[in-house]
Amino acid sequence: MREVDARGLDCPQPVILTRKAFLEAPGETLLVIVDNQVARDNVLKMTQSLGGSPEVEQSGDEFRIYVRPGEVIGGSEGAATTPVRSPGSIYGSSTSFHSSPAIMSTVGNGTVVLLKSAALGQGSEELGRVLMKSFLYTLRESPEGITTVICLNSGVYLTCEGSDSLEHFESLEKEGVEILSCGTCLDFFNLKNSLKVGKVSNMYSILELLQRASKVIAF
Amino acid sequence: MGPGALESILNQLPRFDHPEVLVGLGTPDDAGVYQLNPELALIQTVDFFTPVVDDPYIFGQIAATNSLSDIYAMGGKPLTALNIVCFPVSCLDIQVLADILKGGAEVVRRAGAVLLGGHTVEDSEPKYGLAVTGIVHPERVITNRGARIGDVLVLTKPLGTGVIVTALKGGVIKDSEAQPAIDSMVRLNRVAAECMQELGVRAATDITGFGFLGHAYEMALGSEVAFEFGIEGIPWLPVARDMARMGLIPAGAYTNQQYLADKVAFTGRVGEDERDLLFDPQTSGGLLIAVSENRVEELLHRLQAQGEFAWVVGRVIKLEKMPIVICGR
Repeated sequence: MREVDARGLDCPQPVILTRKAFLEAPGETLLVIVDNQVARDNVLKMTQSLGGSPEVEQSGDEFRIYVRPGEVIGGSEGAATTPVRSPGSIYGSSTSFHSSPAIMSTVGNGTVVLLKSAALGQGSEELGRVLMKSFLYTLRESPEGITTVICLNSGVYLTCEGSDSLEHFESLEKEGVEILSCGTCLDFFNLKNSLKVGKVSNMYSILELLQRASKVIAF
Repeated sequence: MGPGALESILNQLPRFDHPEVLVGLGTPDDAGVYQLNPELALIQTVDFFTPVVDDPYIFGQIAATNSLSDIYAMGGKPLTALNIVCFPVSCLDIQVLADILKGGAEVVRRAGAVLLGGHTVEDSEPKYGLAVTGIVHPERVITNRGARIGDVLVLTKPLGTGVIVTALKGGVIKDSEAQPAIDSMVRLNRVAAECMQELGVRAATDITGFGFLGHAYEMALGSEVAFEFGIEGIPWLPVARDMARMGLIPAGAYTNQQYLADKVAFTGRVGEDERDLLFDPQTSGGLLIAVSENRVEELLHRLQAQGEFAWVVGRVIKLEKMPIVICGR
Protein backbone atom coordinates (compact mmCIF):
# COMPACT_ATOMS: atom_id res chain seq x y z
CA MET A 1 0.00 0.00 0.00
CA ARG A 2 1.32 3.41 -0.91
CA GLU A 3 1.62 5.78 1.99
CA VAL A 4 1.59 9.55 2.33
CA ASP A 5 2.78 10.79 5.69
CA ALA A 6 1.50 14.35 5.88
CA ARG A 7 1.85 14.78 9.63
CA GLY A 8 3.09 18.20 10.66
CA LEU A 9 2.22 19.71 7.29
CA ASP A 10 -0.09 22.68 6.87
CA CYS A 11 -2.83 23.13 4.32
CA PRO A 12 -2.65 22.67 1.36
CA GLN A 13 0.36 20.33 1.46
CA PRO A 14 -1.52 17.19 2.65
CA VAL A 15 -3.98 17.60 -0.23
CA ILE A 16 -1.26 18.25 -2.78
CA LEU A 17 0.78 15.21 -1.71
CA THR A 18 -2.29 12.97 -1.61
CA ARG A 19 -3.45 14.10 -5.02
CA LYS A 20 -0.03 13.45 -6.50
CA ALA A 21 0.15 9.95 -5.01
CA PHE A 22 -3.44 9.16 -6.01
CA LEU A 23 -2.95 10.23 -9.61
CA GLU A 24 0.39 8.45 -9.93
CA ALA A 25 -1.09 5.09 -9.04
CA PRO A 26 -4.85 5.32 -9.51
CA GLY A 27 -5.46 1.59 -9.07
CA GLU A 28 -3.79 1.28 -5.68
CA THR A 29 -5.13 1.78 -2.20
CA LEU A 30 -3.47 4.72 -0.54
CA LEU A 31 -2.86 5.40 3.13
CA VAL A 32 -2.69 9.05 4.11
CA ILE A 33 -1.69 9.99 7.65
CA VAL A 34 -2.53 13.47 8.90
CA ASP A 35 -2.59 15.01 12.35
CA ASN A 36 -5.31 17.65 12.16
CA GLN A 37 -8.97 17.84 11.24
CA VAL A 38 -8.56 20.43 8.52
CA ALA A 39 -6.15 18.16 6.68
CA ARG A 40 -8.46 15.19 7.27
CA ASP A 41 -11.52 16.97 5.85
CA ASN A 42 -9.61 18.39 2.90
CA VAL A 43 -8.08 15.04 2.00
CA LEU A 44 -11.55 13.45 2.20
CA LYS A 45 -13.02 16.05 -0.12
CA MET A 46 -10.16 15.76 -2.56
CA THR A 47 -10.11 11.97 -2.78
CA GLN A 48 -13.90 11.84 -3.13
CA SER A 49 -13.75 14.42 -5.91
CA LEU A 50 -11.33 12.11 -7.73
CA GLY A 51 -13.75 9.22 -7.26
CA GLY A 52 -11.93 7.48 -4.43
CA SER A 53 -13.61 5.98 -1.39
CA PRO A 54 -11.82 7.23 1.70
CA GLU A 55 -12.29 5.78 5.17
CA VAL A 56 -10.93 7.26 8.34
CA GLU A 57 -9.43 5.62 11.38
CA GLN A 58 -8.62 7.87 14.27
CA SER A 59 -6.01 7.09 16.88
CA GLY A 60 -5.24 9.89 19.29
CA ASP A 61 -4.49 13.01 17.32
CA GLU A 62 -3.78 11.09 14.17
CA PHE A 63 -6.08 10.26 11.32
CA ARG A 64 -5.26 7.37 9.03
CA ILE A 65 -7.19 7.75 5.81
CA TYR A 66 -7.43 4.69 3.58
CA VAL A 67 -8.33 5.69 0.06
CA ARG A 68 -9.60 2.89 -2.08
CA PRO A 69 -9.49 3.57 -5.74
CA GLY A 70 -13.20 3.37 -6.58
CA GLU A 71 -14.83 4.57 -9.77
CA VAL A 72 -13.17 7.62 -11.21
CA ILE A 73 -15.81 10.23 -11.85
CA GLY A 74 -15.11 11.71 -15.24
CA GLY A 75 -11.98 9.60 -15.35
CA SER A 76 -10.66 6.84 -17.52
CA GLU A 77 -12.81 3.94 -18.64
CA GLY A 78 -10.24 1.50 -17.27
CA ALA A 79 -11.30 2.36 -13.76
CA ALA A 80 -14.67 0.69 -14.34
CA THR A 81 -13.35 -2.69 -13.23
CA THR A 82 -12.24 -1.51 -9.81
CA PRO A 83 -14.44 -2.03 -6.77
CA VAL A 84 -16.92 0.67 -6.01
CA ARG A 85 -18.19 0.27 -2.52
CA SER A 86 -17.06 1.21 0.91
CA PRO A 87 -19.75 0.87 3.54
CA GLY A 88 -19.49 2.73 6.80
CA SER A 89 -19.71 6.37 7.72
CA ILE A 90 -16.71 8.36 6.61
CA TYR A 91 -16.54 9.86 10.07
CA GLY A 92 -17.21 6.72 12.05
CA SER A 93 -14.95 3.81 12.69
CA SER A 94 -14.32 2.00 9.47
CA THR A 95 -16.13 -1.24 8.81
CA SER A 96 -14.94 -4.08 6.71
CA PHE A 97 -14.82 -3.55 3.00
CA HIS A 98 -17.29 -5.44 0.87
CA SER A 99 -17.03 -5.59 -2.81
CA SER A 100 -19.84 -7.26 -4.69
CA PRO A 101 -18.87 -7.52 -8.30
CA ALA A 102 -21.79 -9.89 -8.79
CA ILE A 103 -24.24 -7.04 -8.57
CA MET A 104 -22.62 -4.24 -10.47
CA SER A 105 -19.10 -3.42 -11.34
CA THR A 106 -19.79 0.25 -11.87
CA VAL A 107 -22.23 2.65 -10.36
CA GLY A 108 -22.71 4.14 -13.79
CA ASN A 109 -24.61 1.12 -15.06
CA GLY A 110 -26.79 0.52 -12.07
CA THR A 111 -30.09 1.56 -10.62
CA VAL A 112 -30.17 4.27 -7.99
CA VAL A 113 -33.05 4.51 -5.53
CA LEU A 114 -33.74 8.05 -4.36
CA LEU A 115 -35.78 8.42 -1.15
CA LYS A 116 -36.90 12.02 -0.84
CA SER A 117 -38.75 11.62 2.44
CA ALA A 118 -39.28 9.17 5.27
CA ALA A 119 -42.73 8.30 3.98
CA LEU A 120 -43.56 6.73 0.64
CA GLY A 121 -46.08 8.57 -1.49
CA GLN A 122 -48.43 11.37 -0.60
CA GLY A 123 -51.70 11.27 1.26
CA SER A 124 -51.52 9.70 4.68
CA GLU A 125 -48.20 10.23 6.45
CA GLU A 126 -48.85 7.20 8.62
CA LEU A 127 -49.59 5.00 5.63
CA GLY A 128 -46.53 6.44 3.88
CA ARG A 129 -44.28 5.21 6.68
CA VAL A 130 -45.76 1.73 6.58
CA LEU A 131 -45.30 1.64 2.81
CA MET A 132 -41.70 2.81 3.08
CA LYS A 133 -40.86 0.05 5.52
CA SER A 134 -42.54 -2.44 3.26
CA PHE A 135 -40.72 -1.07 0.23
CA LEU A 136 -37.33 -1.34 1.94
CA TYR A 137 -38.11 -4.87 3.06
CA THR A 138 -39.03 -5.82 -0.49
CA LEU A 139 -35.95 -4.10 -1.86
CA ARG A 140 -33.80 -6.03 0.58
CA GLU A 141 -35.30 -9.27 -0.62
CA SER A 142 -34.55 -8.51 -4.25
CA PRO A 143 -31.78 -5.96 -4.56
CA GLU A 144 -30.65 -7.10 -8.02
CA GLY A 145 -29.36 -4.25 -10.10
CA ILE A 146 -29.55 -1.73 -7.27
CA THR A 147 -26.20 -0.05 -6.67
CA THR A 148 -27.09 2.84 -4.44
CA VAL A 149 -29.85 4.10 -2.15
CA ILE A 150 -29.76 7.85 -1.54
CA CYS A 151 -31.72 9.42 1.31
CA LEU A 152 -32.61 13.09 1.08
CA ASN A 153 -34.55 15.57 3.18
CA SER A 154 -36.61 13.69 5.83
CA GLY A 155 -35.51 10.48 4.09
CA VAL A 156 -32.36 10.66 6.24
CA TYR A 157 -34.47 9.68 9.24
CA LEU A 158 -34.56 6.22 7.66
CA THR A 159 -30.81 5.70 8.11
CA CYS A 160 -30.60 7.21 11.59
CA GLU A 161 -31.15 6.01 15.12
CA GLY A 162 -34.80 5.19 15.79
CA SER A 163 -35.57 4.11 12.23
CA ASP A 164 -37.49 0.84 11.97
CA SER A 165 -35.80 0.07 8.65
CA LEU A 166 -32.18 -0.05 9.82
CA GLU A 167 -31.99 -3.84 9.47
CA HIS A 168 -33.16 -3.59 5.86
CA PHE A 169 -30.45 -1.07 5.06
CA GLU A 170 -27.83 -3.15 6.84
CA SER A 171 -28.86 -6.15 4.83
CA LEU A 172 -28.74 -4.15 1.61
CA GLU A 173 -25.31 -2.88 2.54
CA LYS A 174 -24.11 -6.44 3.05
CA GLU A 175 -25.32 -7.19 -0.44
CA GLY A 176 -23.03 -4.45 -1.64
CA VAL A 177 -25.61 -1.70 -2.07
CA GLU A 178 -24.21 1.69 -1.16
CA ILE A 179 -26.37 3.61 1.30
CA LEU A 180 -25.91 7.37 1.19
CA SER A 181 -27.46 10.07 3.36
CA CYS A 182 -27.33 13.71 2.38
CA GLY A 183 -25.00 15.56 4.76
CA THR A 184 -26.86 18.84 4.49
CA CYS A 185 -30.08 17.05 5.44
CA LEU A 186 -28.44 15.34 8.42
CA ASP A 187 -27.17 18.72 9.53
CA PHE A 188 -30.53 20.32 9.05
CA PHE A 189 -32.35 17.76 11.19
CA ASN A 190 -29.43 17.69 13.63
CA LEU A 191 -28.89 13.99 12.94
CA LYS A 192 -25.20 14.02 12.10
CA ASN A 193 -24.32 11.95 15.17
CA SER A 194 -27.30 9.64 14.82
CA LEU A 195 -26.45 8.07 11.47
CA LYS A 196 -26.53 4.31 11.91
CA VAL A 197 -26.00 2.91 8.46
CA GLY A 198 -24.23 3.94 5.28
CA LYS A 199 -22.17 7.00 4.46
CA VAL A 200 -22.64 10.74 4.50
CA SER A 201 -22.65 12.18 1.02
CA ASN A 202 -22.89 15.58 -0.58
CA MET A 203 -24.96 17.05 -3.36
CA TYR A 204 -22.09 17.00 -5.77
CA SER A 205 -21.59 13.26 -5.41
CA ILE A 206 -25.33 12.61 -5.36
CA LEU A 207 -25.82 14.53 -8.59
CA GLU A 208 -23.00 12.60 -10.20
CA LEU A 209 -24.58 9.30 -9.16
CA LEU A 210 -27.97 10.32 -10.52
CA GLN A 211 -26.49 11.52 -13.79
CA ARG A 212 -24.53 8.32 -14.27
CA ALA A 213 -27.22 5.91 -13.19
CA SER A 214 -28.81 3.80 -15.89
CA LYS A 215 -32.10 4.14 -14.00
CA VAL A 216 -33.30 6.18 -11.05
CA ILE A 217 -36.23 5.07 -8.91
CA ALA A 218 -37.40 8.08 -6.94
CA PHE A 219 -39.97 8.34 -4.18
CA MET B 1 -7.46 34.85 13.94
CA GLY B 2 -10.92 33.26 14.06
CA PRO B 3 -13.98 35.26 15.11
CA GLY B 4 -14.69 33.26 18.28
CA ALA B 5 -11.18 33.47 19.70
CA LEU B 6 -10.90 37.17 18.90
CA GLU B 7 -14.18 37.95 20.61
CA SER B 8 -13.09 36.22 23.83
CA ILE B 9 -9.88 38.27 23.92
CA LEU B 10 -11.47 41.61 23.13
CA ASN B 11 -13.98 41.04 25.90
CA GLN B 12 -11.10 41.18 28.39
CA LEU B 13 -10.09 44.70 27.38
CA PRO B 14 -11.34 47.75 29.24
CA ARG B 15 -14.10 49.65 27.49
CA PHE B 16 -13.58 53.16 26.22
CA ASP B 17 -17.00 54.73 26.45
CA HIS B 18 -16.10 58.27 25.41
CA PRO B 19 -18.93 60.12 23.71
CA GLU B 20 -16.61 60.78 20.77
CA VAL B 21 -16.24 57.06 20.06
CA LEU B 22 -18.88 56.37 17.42
CA VAL B 23 -17.64 52.87 16.61
CA GLY B 24 -15.18 51.17 18.96
CA LEU B 25 -14.27 47.82 20.42
CA GLY B 26 -17.78 47.35 21.80
CA THR B 27 -19.24 46.42 18.45
CA PRO B 28 -17.58 44.20 15.88
CA ASP B 29 -17.11 46.46 12.87
CA ASP B 30 -14.62 47.08 10.09
CA ALA B 31 -12.86 50.11 11.55
CA GLY B 32 -13.00 52.47 14.52
CA VAL B 33 -14.72 55.87 14.21
CA TYR B 34 -13.93 58.87 16.41
CA GLN B 35 -15.83 62.13 16.17
CA LEU B 36 -13.69 65.28 16.04
CA ASN B 37 -16.47 67.84 15.67
CA PRO B 38 -20.09 67.88 14.48
CA GLU B 39 -18.92 67.85 10.86
CA LEU B 40 -16.04 65.41 10.95
CA ALA B 41 -15.16 61.97 12.26
CA LEU B 42 -11.92 60.01 11.87
CA ILE B 43 -11.94 56.40 10.69
CA GLN B 44 -8.92 54.31 11.65
CA THR B 45 -7.91 50.82 10.72
CA VAL B 46 -4.86 48.61 10.41
CA ASP B 47 -4.43 45.32 8.58
CA PHE B 48 -1.41 43.34 7.40
CA PHE B 49 -0.68 39.76 6.43
CA THR B 50 1.73 37.31 4.83
CA PRO B 51 2.09 37.07 1.03
CA VAL B 52 -0.85 35.58 -0.84
CA VAL B 53 0.90 35.60 -4.22
CA ASP B 54 4.53 35.18 -5.30
CA ASP B 55 4.88 38.49 -7.13
CA PRO B 56 5.92 41.10 -4.51
CA TYR B 57 4.50 44.05 -6.45
CA ILE B 58 1.08 42.37 -6.74
CA PHE B 59 1.19 41.29 -3.12
CA GLY B 60 1.82 44.92 -2.13
CA GLN B 61 -1.19 46.02 -4.15
CA ILE B 62 -3.45 43.35 -2.67
CA ALA B 63 -2.42 44.08 0.92
CA ALA B 64 -2.92 47.82 0.48
CA THR B 65 -6.29 47.39 -1.24
CA ASN B 66 -7.37 45.14 1.61
CA SER B 67 -6.28 47.70 4.25
CA LEU B 68 -8.08 50.56 2.54
CA SER B 69 -11.23 48.50 2.25
CA ASP B 70 -12.14 48.97 5.91
CA ILE B 71 -12.32 52.75 5.39
CA TYR B 72 -14.63 52.29 2.40
CA ALA B 73 -16.79 49.82 4.30
CA MET B 74 -17.52 52.57 6.84
CA GLY B 75 -18.53 54.90 4.01
CA GLY B 76 -15.35 56.95 4.41
CA LYS B 77 -12.66 58.52 2.29
CA PRO B 78 -9.05 57.55 3.05
CA LEU B 79 -6.67 60.45 3.70
CA THR B 80 -3.38 59.09 5.00
CA ALA B 81 -1.64 55.74 5.18
CA LEU B 82 1.39 54.29 6.96
CA ASN B 83 3.23 51.16 5.85
CA ILE B 84 3.50 48.36 8.36
CA VAL B 85 6.14 45.86 7.34
CA CYS B 86 7.84 42.71 8.59
CA PHE B 87 10.71 41.50 6.44
CA PRO B 88 13.58 38.97 6.64
CA VAL B 89 16.17 41.59 5.70
CA SER B 90 19.10 39.17 5.90
CA CYS B 91 17.57 36.31 3.84
CA LEU B 92 15.54 37.96 1.11
CA ASP B 93 16.68 40.34 -1.59
CA ILE B 94 15.85 43.84 -0.45
CA GLN B 95 14.42 44.53 -3.90
CA VAL B 96 11.52 42.26 -2.95
CA LEU B 97 10.63 44.67 -0.16
CA ALA B 98 10.98 47.62 -2.51
CA ASP B 99 8.54 45.99 -4.92
CA ILE B 100 6.02 45.23 -2.17
CA LEU B 101 6.12 48.86 -1.05
CA LYS B 102 5.85 50.11 -4.63
CA GLY B 103 2.72 48.04 -5.12
CA GLY B 104 1.22 49.40 -1.91
CA ALA B 105 2.11 53.00 -2.75
CA GLU B 106 0.55 52.66 -6.18
CA VAL B 107 -2.76 51.62 -4.58
CA VAL B 108 -2.63 54.44 -2.02
CA ARG B 109 -2.18 56.85 -4.91
CA ARG B 110 -5.12 55.32 -6.78
CA ALA B 111 -7.23 55.73 -3.67
CA GLY B 112 -6.47 59.46 -3.65
CA ALA B 113 -4.74 59.19 -0.25
CA VAL B 114 -1.15 59.93 0.73
CA LEU B 115 1.54 57.72 2.21
CA LEU B 116 3.18 59.43 5.19
CA GLY B 117 5.67 56.83 6.41
CA GLY B 118 5.74 53.48 8.11
CA HIS B 119 7.54 51.03 10.32
CA THR B 120 9.59 47.92 9.55
CA VAL B 121 10.40 44.99 11.83
CA GLU B 122 12.81 42.19 10.97
CA ASP B 123 10.96 38.90 10.92
CA SER B 124 11.31 35.43 9.44
CA GLU B 125 8.43 35.86 7.00
CA PRO B 126 7.39 38.96 5.06
CA LYS B 127 4.19 40.68 6.15
CA TYR B 128 2.76 43.86 4.76
CA GLY B 129 -0.22 46.13 5.11
CA LEU B 130 -1.31 49.65 5.96
CA ALA B 131 -2.58 51.64 8.89
CA VAL B 132 -5.09 53.99 7.30
CA THR B 133 -6.88 57.08 8.51
CA GLY B 134 -9.95 58.31 6.72
CA ILE B 135 -12.76 60.74 7.26
CA VAL B 136 -16.54 60.64 7.22
CA HIS B 137 -19.39 62.89 8.30
CA PRO B 138 -20.40 61.69 11.80
CA GLU B 139 -24.02 61.31 10.72
CA ARG B 140 -23.11 59.37 7.61
CA VAL B 141 -21.08 56.57 9.12
CA ILE B 142 -22.03 53.28 7.48
CA THR B 143 -21.88 50.60 10.16
CA ASN B 144 -22.80 46.98 10.74
CA ARG B 145 -25.83 48.15 12.71
CA GLY B 146 -27.99 49.89 10.15
CA ALA B 147 -29.62 47.08 8.12
CA ARG B 148 -33.43 47.21 8.16
CA ILE B 149 -36.04 44.59 7.42
CA GLY B 150 -36.93 44.74 3.74
CA ASP B 151 -33.49 45.99 2.65
CA VAL B 152 -31.87 44.24 -0.28
CA LEU B 153 -28.36 42.80 0.14
CA VAL B 154 -25.84 43.55 -2.59
CA LEU B 155 -22.33 42.10 -2.91
CA THR B 156 -19.63 43.79 -4.99
CA LYS B 157 -17.03 41.03 -5.49
CA PRO B 158 -17.34 37.30 -6.16
CA LEU B 159 -16.24 34.82 -3.47
CA GLY B 160 -13.43 32.30 -3.46
CA THR B 161 -10.10 34.13 -2.99
CA GLY B 162 -9.16 31.88 -0.05
CA VAL B 163 -9.37 28.58 -1.93
CA ILE B 164 -7.81 30.10 -5.04
CA VAL B 165 -4.83 31.45 -3.12
CA THR B 166 -4.50 28.02 -1.48
CA ALA B 167 -4.62 26.32 -4.89
CA LEU B 168 -2.09 28.77 -6.27
CA LYS B 169 0.30 28.16 -3.36
CA GLY B 170 -0.11 24.43 -3.87
CA GLY B 171 0.68 24.72 -7.56
CA VAL B 172 -2.67 23.22 -8.57
CA ILE B 173 -3.64 26.15 -10.77
CA LYS B 174 -1.61 28.34 -13.07
CA ASP B 175 -1.14 32.06 -12.54
CA SER B 176 -3.46 32.70 -15.47
CA GLU B 177 -6.27 30.77 -13.80
CA ALA B 178 -5.86 32.88 -10.66
CA GLN B 179 -5.91 36.13 -12.62
CA PRO B 180 -9.62 36.90 -12.07
CA ALA B 181 -9.07 36.48 -8.33
CA ILE B 182 -6.02 38.76 -8.41
CA ASP B 183 -7.90 41.38 -10.43
CA SER B 184 -10.65 41.22 -7.84
CA MET B 185 -8.25 41.54 -4.89
CA VAL B 186 -6.57 44.67 -6.30
CA ARG B 187 -9.86 46.40 -7.10
CA LEU B 188 -10.60 49.16 -4.59
CA ASN B 189 -14.02 49.35 -2.98
CA ARG B 190 -13.85 53.09 -3.53
CA VAL B 191 -16.58 53.50 -6.15
CA ALA B 192 -18.90 51.30 -4.10
CA ALA B 193 -18.29 53.49 -1.04
CA GLU B 194 -19.01 56.65 -3.02
CA CYS B 195 -22.22 55.20 -4.44
CA MET B 196 -23.34 54.15 -0.96
CA GLN B 197 -22.93 57.71 0.30
CA GLU B 198 -24.72 59.19 -2.72
CA LEU B 199 -27.70 56.95 -2.06
CA GLY B 200 -27.79 57.28 1.73
CA VAL B 201 -26.97 53.63 2.52
CA ARG B 202 -26.87 52.98 6.28
CA ALA B 203 -25.28 49.55 6.58
CA ALA B 204 -22.39 47.73 4.93
CA THR B 205 -19.36 45.64 5.74
CA ASP B 206 -16.38 44.38 3.80
CA ILE B 207 -15.89 40.66 3.33
CA THR B 208 -12.49 39.53 4.63
CA GLY B 209 -11.09 36.92 6.99
CA PHE B 210 -14.31 35.73 8.64
CA GLY B 211 -15.68 34.83 5.23
CA PHE B 212 -18.89 35.91 3.57
CA LEU B 213 -21.13 34.45 6.25
CA GLY B 214 -18.92 35.55 9.14
CA HIS B 215 -19.18 39.18 8.14
CA ALA B 216 -22.83 38.86 7.13
CA TYR B 217 -23.50 37.45 10.60
CA GLU B 218 -21.77 40.39 12.33
CA MET B 219 -23.95 42.75 10.33
CA ALA B 220 -27.18 40.84 10.98
CA LEU B 221 -26.32 40.65 14.68
CA GLY B 222 -25.43 44.34 14.89
CA SER B 223 -28.68 45.27 13.14
CA GLU B 224 -30.81 42.80 15.14
CA VAL B 225 -32.25 41.28 11.98
CA ALA B 226 -31.72 38.13 9.92
CA PHE B 227 -30.19 37.87 6.45
CA GLU B 228 -31.60 35.53 3.85
CA PHE B 229 -29.43 34.62 0.87
CA GLY B 230 -30.29 32.69 -2.28
CA ILE B 231 -27.46 30.34 -3.16
CA GLU B 232 -28.05 30.81 -6.87
CA GLY B 233 -27.48 34.54 -6.59
CA ILE B 234 -24.06 34.24 -4.95
CA PRO B 235 -21.21 35.02 -7.36
CA TRP B 236 -18.16 32.72 -7.37
CA LEU B 237 -14.75 33.38 -8.84
CA PRO B 238 -13.86 31.12 -11.79
CA VAL B 239 -12.42 27.73 -10.69
CA ALA B 240 -13.27 28.46 -7.03
CA ARG B 241 -15.90 25.71 -6.86
CA ASP B 242 -13.55 23.18 -8.49
CA MET B 243 -10.84 24.03 -5.99
CA ALA B 244 -13.28 23.70 -3.07
CA ARG B 245 -14.35 20.26 -4.31
CA MET B 246 -10.70 19.31 -4.44
CA GLY B 247 -10.34 20.13 -0.76
CA LEU B 248 -8.05 23.12 -1.19
CA ILE B 249 -9.77 24.79 1.69
CA PRO B 250 -7.81 26.99 4.09
CA ALA B 251 -8.00 26.21 7.80
CA GLY B 252 -9.71 29.55 8.40
CA ALA B 253 -12.77 28.33 6.51
CA TYR B 254 -13.23 25.53 9.04
CA THR B 255 -12.74 27.94 11.96
CA ASN B 256 -15.37 30.23 10.47
CA GLN B 257 -17.74 27.34 9.82
CA GLN B 258 -17.35 26.08 13.36
CA TYR B 259 -18.01 29.51 14.85
CA LEU B 260 -21.14 29.94 12.74
CA ALA B 261 -22.47 26.37 13.06
CA ASP B 262 -25.47 27.33 15.20
CA LYS B 263 -26.07 30.64 13.46
CA VAL B 264 -26.66 29.54 9.88
CA ALA B 265 -29.61 27.54 8.54
CA PHE B 266 -29.48 25.89 5.14
CA THR B 267 -32.71 25.12 3.34
CA GLY B 268 -33.00 23.28 0.04
CA ARG B 269 -30.00 22.01 -1.88
CA VAL B 270 -26.67 23.71 -1.31
CA GLY B 271 -23.54 22.02 -2.68
CA GLU B 272 -20.81 21.14 -0.22
CA ASP B 273 -18.38 23.19 -2.28
CA GLU B 274 -20.73 26.16 -2.13
CA ARG B 275 -21.03 25.84 1.62
CA ASP B 276 -17.28 25.73 1.99
CA LEU B 277 -16.95 28.86 -0.13
CA LEU B 278 -19.50 30.73 1.97
CA PHE B 279 -17.11 30.31 4.93
CA ASP B 280 -13.91 30.78 2.92
CA PRO B 281 -11.79 33.61 4.34
CA GLN B 282 -11.53 36.36 1.74
CA THR B 283 -8.59 38.61 1.05
CA SER B 284 -9.60 42.08 -0.06
CA GLY B 285 -13.20 41.00 -0.60
CA GLY B 286 -16.10 43.12 -1.72
CA LEU B 287 -18.65 45.13 0.22
CA LEU B 288 -21.89 43.59 1.43
CA ILE B 289 -24.38 46.44 1.27
CA ALA B 290 -27.89 46.64 2.76
CA VAL B 291 -29.83 49.06 0.58
CA SER B 292 -33.51 49.98 0.73
CA GLU B 293 -35.60 48.27 -1.91
CA ASN B 294 -36.45 51.47 -3.77
CA ARG B 295 -32.78 52.38 -4.15
CA VAL B 296 -31.35 49.05 -5.23
CA GLU B 297 -31.87 49.58 -8.97
CA GLU B 298 -30.16 52.95 -8.75
CA LEU B 299 -27.24 51.48 -6.79
CA LEU B 300 -26.72 48.68 -9.32
CA HIS B 301 -27.03 51.14 -12.18
CA ARG B 302 -24.46 53.55 -10.72
CA LEU B 303 -21.98 50.80 -9.94
CA GLN B 304 -22.28 49.23 -13.35
CA ALA B 305 -22.05 52.58 -15.10
CA GLN B 306 -18.62 53.04 -13.49
CA GLY B 307 -17.39 49.62 -14.50
CA GLU B 308 -17.97 48.01 -11.12
CA PHE B 309 -19.67 44.71 -10.41
CA ALA B 310 -22.63 44.12 -8.14
CA TRP B 311 -24.90 41.18 -7.43
CA VAL B 312 -28.17 41.08 -5.52
CA VAL B 313 -27.56 38.20 -3.13
CA GLY B 314 -30.31 38.37 -0.53
CA ARG B 315 -32.57 40.42 1.65
CA VAL B 316 -33.00 41.49 5.24
CA ILE B 317 -35.76 39.69 7.13
CA LYS B 318 -37.12 39.61 10.65
CA LEU B 319 -34.96 37.71 13.13
CA GLU B 320 -36.81 34.63 14.20
CA LYS B 321 -34.59 31.64 14.81
CA MET B 322 -31.42 31.84 12.76
CA PRO B 323 -29.64 35.11 11.94
CA ILE B 324 -28.47 33.69 8.60
CA VAL B 325 -30.63 31.64 6.25
CA ILE B 326 -29.26 30.19 3.01
CA CYS B 327 -31.94 29.16 0.54
CA GLY B 328 -30.81 26.33 -1.70
CA ARG B 329 -32.25 25.22 -5.01
